[in-house]
Amino acid sequence: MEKNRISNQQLKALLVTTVIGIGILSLPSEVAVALNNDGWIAILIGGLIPVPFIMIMDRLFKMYPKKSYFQITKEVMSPFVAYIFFIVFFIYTIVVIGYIHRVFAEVIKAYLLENTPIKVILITMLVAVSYAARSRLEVLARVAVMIYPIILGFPIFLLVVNLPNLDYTNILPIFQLDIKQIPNGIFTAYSAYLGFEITTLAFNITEDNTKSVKYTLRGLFTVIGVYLIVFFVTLSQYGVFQLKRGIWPSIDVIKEVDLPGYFVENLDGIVLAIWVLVVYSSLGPFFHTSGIILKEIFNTKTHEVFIPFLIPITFVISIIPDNLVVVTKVMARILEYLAFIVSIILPVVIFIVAYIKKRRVKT
Amino acid sequence: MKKKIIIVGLLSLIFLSGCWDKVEIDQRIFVSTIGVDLHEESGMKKYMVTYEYPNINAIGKNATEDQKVYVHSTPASSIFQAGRELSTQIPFPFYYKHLKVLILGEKLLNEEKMVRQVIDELNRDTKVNKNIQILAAEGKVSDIINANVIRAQTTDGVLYSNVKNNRTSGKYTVQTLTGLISTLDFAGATVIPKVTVEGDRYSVSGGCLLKNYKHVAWLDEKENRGLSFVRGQVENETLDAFYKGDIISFTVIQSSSNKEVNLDKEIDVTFSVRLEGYLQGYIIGKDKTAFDMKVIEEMEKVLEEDVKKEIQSIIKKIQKTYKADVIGIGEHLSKFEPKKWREIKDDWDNIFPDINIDLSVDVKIRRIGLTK
Amino acid sequence: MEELSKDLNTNLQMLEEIFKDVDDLVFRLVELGESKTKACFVFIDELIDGARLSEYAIQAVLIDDKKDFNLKLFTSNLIKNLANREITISEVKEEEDLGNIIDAILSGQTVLFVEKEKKALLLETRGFPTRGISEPESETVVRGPRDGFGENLKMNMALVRRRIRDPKLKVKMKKVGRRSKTDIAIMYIEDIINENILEEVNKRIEQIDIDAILDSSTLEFLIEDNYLSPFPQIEVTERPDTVAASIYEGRVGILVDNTPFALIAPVTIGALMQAAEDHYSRWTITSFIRLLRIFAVFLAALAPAFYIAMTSFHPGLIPTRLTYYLGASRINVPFPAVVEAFLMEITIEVLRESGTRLAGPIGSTIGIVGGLIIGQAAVEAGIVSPLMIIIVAITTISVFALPNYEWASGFRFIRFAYMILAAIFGLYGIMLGIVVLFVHLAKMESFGIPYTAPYSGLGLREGDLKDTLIRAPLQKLKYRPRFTLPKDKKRMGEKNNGEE
Repeated sequence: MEKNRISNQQLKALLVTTVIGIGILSLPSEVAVALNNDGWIAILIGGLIPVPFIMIMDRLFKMYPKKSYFQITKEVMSPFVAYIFFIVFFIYTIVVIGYIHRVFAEVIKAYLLENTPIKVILITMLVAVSYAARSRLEVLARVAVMIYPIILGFPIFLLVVNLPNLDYTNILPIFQLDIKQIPNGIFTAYSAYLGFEITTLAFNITEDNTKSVKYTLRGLFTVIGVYLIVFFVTLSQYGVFQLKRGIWPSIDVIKEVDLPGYFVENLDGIVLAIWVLVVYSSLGPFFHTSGIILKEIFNTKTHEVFIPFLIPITFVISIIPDNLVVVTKVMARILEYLAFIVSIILPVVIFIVAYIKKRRVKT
Repeated sequence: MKKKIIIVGLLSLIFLSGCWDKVEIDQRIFVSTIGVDLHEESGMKKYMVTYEYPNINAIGKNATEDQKVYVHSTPASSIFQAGRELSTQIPFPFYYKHLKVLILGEKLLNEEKMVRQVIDELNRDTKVNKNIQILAAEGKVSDIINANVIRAQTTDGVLYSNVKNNRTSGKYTVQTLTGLISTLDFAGATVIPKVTVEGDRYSVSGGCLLKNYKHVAWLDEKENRGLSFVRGQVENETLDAFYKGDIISFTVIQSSSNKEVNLDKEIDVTFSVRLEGYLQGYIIGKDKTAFDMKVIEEMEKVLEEDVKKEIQSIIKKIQKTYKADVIGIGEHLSKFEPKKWREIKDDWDNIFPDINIDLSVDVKIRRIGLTK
Repeated sequence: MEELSKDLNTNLQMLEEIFKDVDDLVFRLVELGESKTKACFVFIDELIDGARLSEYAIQAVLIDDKKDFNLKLFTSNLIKNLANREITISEVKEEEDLGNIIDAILSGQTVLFVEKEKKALLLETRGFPTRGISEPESETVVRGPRDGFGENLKMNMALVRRRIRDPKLKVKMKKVGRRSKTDIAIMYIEDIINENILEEVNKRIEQIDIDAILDSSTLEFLIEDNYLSPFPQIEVTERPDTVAASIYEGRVGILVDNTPFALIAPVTIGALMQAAEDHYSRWTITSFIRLLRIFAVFLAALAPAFYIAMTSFHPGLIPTRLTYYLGASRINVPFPAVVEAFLMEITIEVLRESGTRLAGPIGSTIGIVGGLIIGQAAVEAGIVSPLMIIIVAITTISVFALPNYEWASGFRFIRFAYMILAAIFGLYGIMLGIVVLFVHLAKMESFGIPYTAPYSGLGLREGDLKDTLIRAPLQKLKYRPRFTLPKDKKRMGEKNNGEE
């Protein structure tokens, strides 16, 4: 009953709920723009990219058992370099938070609350998320497990409800892709998997580390599965042209459902309600992490003190872009590069240095 | 002290916020049908938009009024702008989430650009459901909608119920907004049901052939039925044919249609349509019996020939005259033979009329009812 | 630690001083044996079982005046001799400390002072009038035992003991409250209970510093983890079988004198949603009812809020025909949906309060009158729409579907918070509220055990969900629930009815 331990199941749930956030909305459309009907290839490969890095993180933690990611970084690199890493990580997290918030608020404004000023939506969500961010990671893991079945239920619900109307032939033709577009597609798809790096931070508080990788990978494959289902459902329902046209096809596809015989219409309410949960469970860990990074940089006891200061900072970031187009074209690009650095390059560097150090110690 | 400030702050938030989006449900107007005509005037207001919405007072237990729906028309520069125009006459704001039917007027359908604008508006809007039914009107839409005022009984609107609940999908083919856009994307052509009004009765029958968002032809019921057979969309239809001088009546229960595309030399398409059903009517007489294998075979043959003729004539029309690929050949090629499609898709308008389309119809009379 | 003196009169005077103006204190002087040794029984009149005292104590020592209570022979052992050979009361105890003696007198024991003895003898004569064993009023079952706790701690302990005849059942008695000195009994099974939990419970009870504990609720509020939360973190029950079952699961039962409500710690959401009857009925219907309860929770907390959100903010999110019907039913209602909802909810709560105050037939009449007639009249007068009445009625009743009263009351309160959120932000507000509630529940712990334990990931595999979300057949519930982290995990053997 030690404090701040999480089980492997909680780790898996944390991964799934953190990663599945706003990416799910525009993912089908964006990969379709790049690769037409073969967008699923990008989704699949994009999802496999994190795998080697999860393994690397696992090895890293095994080399320095019981130490947190930050402690390891400080030990392995010189403190100065470590702080630079932390600052980059921190910038990444707050940009992510600002981005997710902004897109979330835009969606809410579009579907639910047309006249409410966007700033109000942003602030209320930020304040609500800060309540979760102030807790220990263990609490966030518990919330993740509670929300996990709902998040899994959503694509299944989507599938079942759309079954009568799906036109499977819309999935064809396959393998007609433009080879040159594949890297573009994969890069876009990869940004839907952001969040997995957060859970690797949790490796050191997981109970049974021998199985952590197995569960994490299971979680990752679950996410890939969810994204694939959403992609195929939206593709079948819309056809590839309309799919490329839509901005948030995953929600719009629910608007297609109309079975008045079963009193099933206008289901977007349910979908949006679930979706608030989904985004919240994405934001919580990110917000929490940014607090933790500050705690490491300034060496305080808890991260809770920093959370109130982060609210205005992330708020400002989320209102910088003028409209959704700027958000998607500019902010998302910046984010993709930052993400690449933070989730891939940094851990690899740390690992290589740590490996070399260990080698040196041996000889 | 700090706590007090927070509490006061929170309380005032509740009152100051004004609840921006709160509108009482009985103070909204739920537009159920929109009709768009061409408004031939100069200036921006090119559309004559008609809104139809139900009279809430006439629904439910305490129904106090007789007029079931209200209809208003106004010239406007776009569909949703019409809502603003009407705000001078109507006390409540419009709400489009429960829109069910869109009717496009005949003259409007000749203007491709304007139709495209209308469709985009509906596609882009966050509130409109994507499965609204789209109909084409022969004549002016406002006439049609005004004629419904007396008849409207259901809350969804008569046209909607008619279209949605129809079980004889031979007479017209339903089309939703997304369906329309998709088929126009894939094939450049689509069919939407036709609505006309005679006196104060409306009728939905036949179809309107659209090519690239422009009207090219009206189809009557038989032609539409032929198309429906080829697409395998007929659910419940009754065919009559002459058999040895008597009229036999055959009700279709199931229909299916398969396409086979052969790319060996040229493009050869073979449609095999299969109809199954039961014998609805023959004639009572001493020597007339249907309980005979030969008789049934002959009846089937007669029906097959009739259907074949019907389908062939409409296929010829759409292929040669209108060059509108509503039978899904282009779509099929794009999905199943993508390489070939890439070669010919830019020239499809010219290639389509030259394709060999073969047809085989198979009718099976499964049951003959209670008597011989 | 004040000591007694050897002189009887001094002792008695000390007591008189302390108990000045206490007119129900009785001094019964006796002379023992031939030597006419002076002794005195001191007790408070109404707290003792008079018959027991006179027959088994006073009579016992007075009956044979030939006995020689020769001081010279038995000086320091006189009390012991009396205890061992003369007094026939079932429980006796020697006591030197004046403080404890005072406590004893105040709890209904009789103290025997003897001349020239520094020690006194405490005699167990407690016998104040109590209510007999009756059916617990707040938790009834169709099938299952019907005995409920009373206000007498000893009786309550007996009811639990009968169900656990294991020497490993430990009972620790403590006194809590500076002036009330209420007796409490902490019961647990030693080789199941997790030591951390036990330690935590004991630690917190030790820390209590308050005048009086009049009901177990005071104790509950002083030892729970988060007193600000609207939800309980300790289970309260009137049923001895519930306490016994919980002890078997690896939890601690705390019985408090003067109240029929016992406490059980730790608790989780899974436990709060269980009723005693669940374990006495068959598994199919029970599984269905458990799922129904979860549905009832949502209904109770969210129904009015959803009504407000749907009618005022998002009429597009409900099927078309329902929308038109709602609109039609709300024409001419003078209030906006928010005001209507608040008005009716508050009216119902007021009715509920009034119904509780009035006992017996009047109370239930008010319920019917208030509910039916006022509601009906309101609809006919057209100030409220009929759908609102239905919603309010459903929410009020669904609250009672939850077996634990405090847990349900948390939702009664939350319902208003959600209504306010819905009134400002519509569906978005409600979802924010739900998610904040999730976080709040996940944050809470009950004596170190996460509050949301069965649903949030501590060992789902070992069967916790089998007994919380649904109820699997008895044969499948071989292991104790894991959330209590028990030492002995198995509660059932391998071969049982139907299992090979």
